[in-house]
Amino acid sequence: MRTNVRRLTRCAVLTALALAISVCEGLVPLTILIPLPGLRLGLANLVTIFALCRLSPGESFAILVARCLLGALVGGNLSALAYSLTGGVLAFLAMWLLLHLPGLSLFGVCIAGAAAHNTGQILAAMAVLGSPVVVVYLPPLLLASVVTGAVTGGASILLVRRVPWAGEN
Amino acid sequence: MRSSAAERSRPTLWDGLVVLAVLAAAGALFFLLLPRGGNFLTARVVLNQEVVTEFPLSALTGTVTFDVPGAEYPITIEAEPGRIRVSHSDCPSQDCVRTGWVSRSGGQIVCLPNRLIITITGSDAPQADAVTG
Amino acid sequence: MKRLLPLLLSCALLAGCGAGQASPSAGTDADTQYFFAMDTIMSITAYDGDTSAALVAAQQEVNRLEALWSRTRPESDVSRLNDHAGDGTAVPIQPETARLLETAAAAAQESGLAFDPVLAPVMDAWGFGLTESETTAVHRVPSQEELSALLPLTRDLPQVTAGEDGSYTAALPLTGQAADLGGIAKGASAAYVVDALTAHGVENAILSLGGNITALGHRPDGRPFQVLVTDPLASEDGYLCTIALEGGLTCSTSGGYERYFESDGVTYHHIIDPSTGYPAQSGLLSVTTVAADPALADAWSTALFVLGRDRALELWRSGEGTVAGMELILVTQGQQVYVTQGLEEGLQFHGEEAGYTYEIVRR
Repeated sequence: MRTNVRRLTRCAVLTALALAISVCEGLVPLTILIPLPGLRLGLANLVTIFALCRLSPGESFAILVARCLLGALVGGNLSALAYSLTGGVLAFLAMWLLLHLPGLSLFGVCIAGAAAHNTGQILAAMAVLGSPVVVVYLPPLLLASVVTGAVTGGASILLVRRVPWAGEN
Repeated sequence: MRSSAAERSRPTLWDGLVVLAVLAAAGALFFLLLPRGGNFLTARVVLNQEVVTEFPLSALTGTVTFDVPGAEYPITIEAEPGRIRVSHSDCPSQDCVRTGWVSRSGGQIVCLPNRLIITITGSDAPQADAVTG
Repeated sequence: MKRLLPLLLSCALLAGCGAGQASPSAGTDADTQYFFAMDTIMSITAYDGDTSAALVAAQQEVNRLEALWSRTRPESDVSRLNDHAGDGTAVPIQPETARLLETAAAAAQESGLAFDPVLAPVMDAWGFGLTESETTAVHRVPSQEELSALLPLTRDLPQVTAGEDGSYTAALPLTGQAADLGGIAKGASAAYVVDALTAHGVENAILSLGGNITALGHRPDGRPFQVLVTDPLASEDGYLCTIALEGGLTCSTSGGYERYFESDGVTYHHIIDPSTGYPAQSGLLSVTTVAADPALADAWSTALFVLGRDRALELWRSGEGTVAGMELILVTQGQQVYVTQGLEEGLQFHGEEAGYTYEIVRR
């Protein structure tokens, strides 16, 4: 019972953190500098990668979905849910997979995650718009994901190394 | 869970491979999607998968500004000879306005909240004074 | 793949102003006005005279006529006429409306109601009527019973009466009737626009009022205006041919590709055959008419689409009646293009690659 409460709290705190990060990020949109729809730093991904490193995949996934749902509710923009959820889930799968490969560091994992996230967003946009033309945004977004992924990758290394963690109990 | 990746603090060669893979995908897509067609530009505005208007962009002689009827968030499009932009939109994201002018074949502006796409296509169509039909 | 259809299509383009080209021939200071009216995008290019004043006047003229002829504006002549359908009231109307109703009635009678200005009840049943924009239109396939009940309302034309003081009234005889002049109003406007332009000294201009192209005078280089005819099967910008449009003439195109919807795998287009209440199945993809009277060009492009190739060419060959005075381009579903001989000079055919063949029809 104690463990459940601890786990639950842990997830809740991380969800809140992820939500706060993504809201903050939304306040300073990167698209002002580079007009590329869907472009963001993806700092909320930090929480996903942190959770993947420290918690179970199930918990990490729950945090991701909760963050997307709450983000849509807080933002009052339910249509954005399609993009964040498709991108988030795809990024989650990519990172989860790559974390199991030997030889990679979090840089590679996060870059792949960012690329997967952008691909997911474009897929969702294609579905919502019912038109394949938005795919032209994918190449520049993929290029951008190398940069944004490297930034979040560096940040996640610091995070995973520096943040103390009480362990499994 | 334990992962070797979580323990490293420096990028590895394998990370480089990931970067290369992403760059290759971007490059391949870019070339696949390279716009084709001549410099006879046509602008097409599509709202909710329906064409709202389509007109020869290259052949404009002045500025034309119009609101898109039926858009959820009022949106204003401005077209000049050879280029087009969203000059105003009430949509929350404003990405469409920030995209600014697009002027090349294959260029496009998307307003996701409005489910609106403006595309420019080029063709080698003959020059004429007007189009009927 | 679903074909995206142009709903509000067509602007006029100015000669010699394509991307990357030099400015038009020296000495021309052409001016173009673009605007939305009558549910479509319109453009007018004037090449001489007091262009800015002329274009303002031209647009005002279209707006004024739209206020008279719109079905969606409650105070328009047409709306008031429809509101009093069948109640015996003689609705006062403007002379412009009276003239348009008479032109429409003449075209309707001569075409055996292939052009029908009172088809609105049936059009509404299909969802092709009363819509501000295609994005808000709700299309459906009406039942045979529903159409059978509506068709009797689409036969009796509005009666126009001239008063002794020069005023006009009009009435629709049956309750439930409704006039919709959308099939002729854009063409009819062209005549008024031309008057407004010439009043400001414009001698050369080209008008594109929702796909109805009217030439006034000629191009700055002295040649007749060049008009592209859309390929009705092309998903992208495809053109069937270029025709030379002499000054004083209007060309108008009707085709099922302009507006349509799909239901249970069947495509239903917006040109309803008034005799059946169903989309016209005449074997034609599009009809382009070239005529001196812009209103008649507009109305007859629809009528001939309904009547089909054989009847259209028969009317043209007969040497009598309105169609005999026009030039035609008929495009069949078999990708055969029939161009009447008056258009042969200046014709440039672009449709070979898309699989079209054409022949010149002679009397």
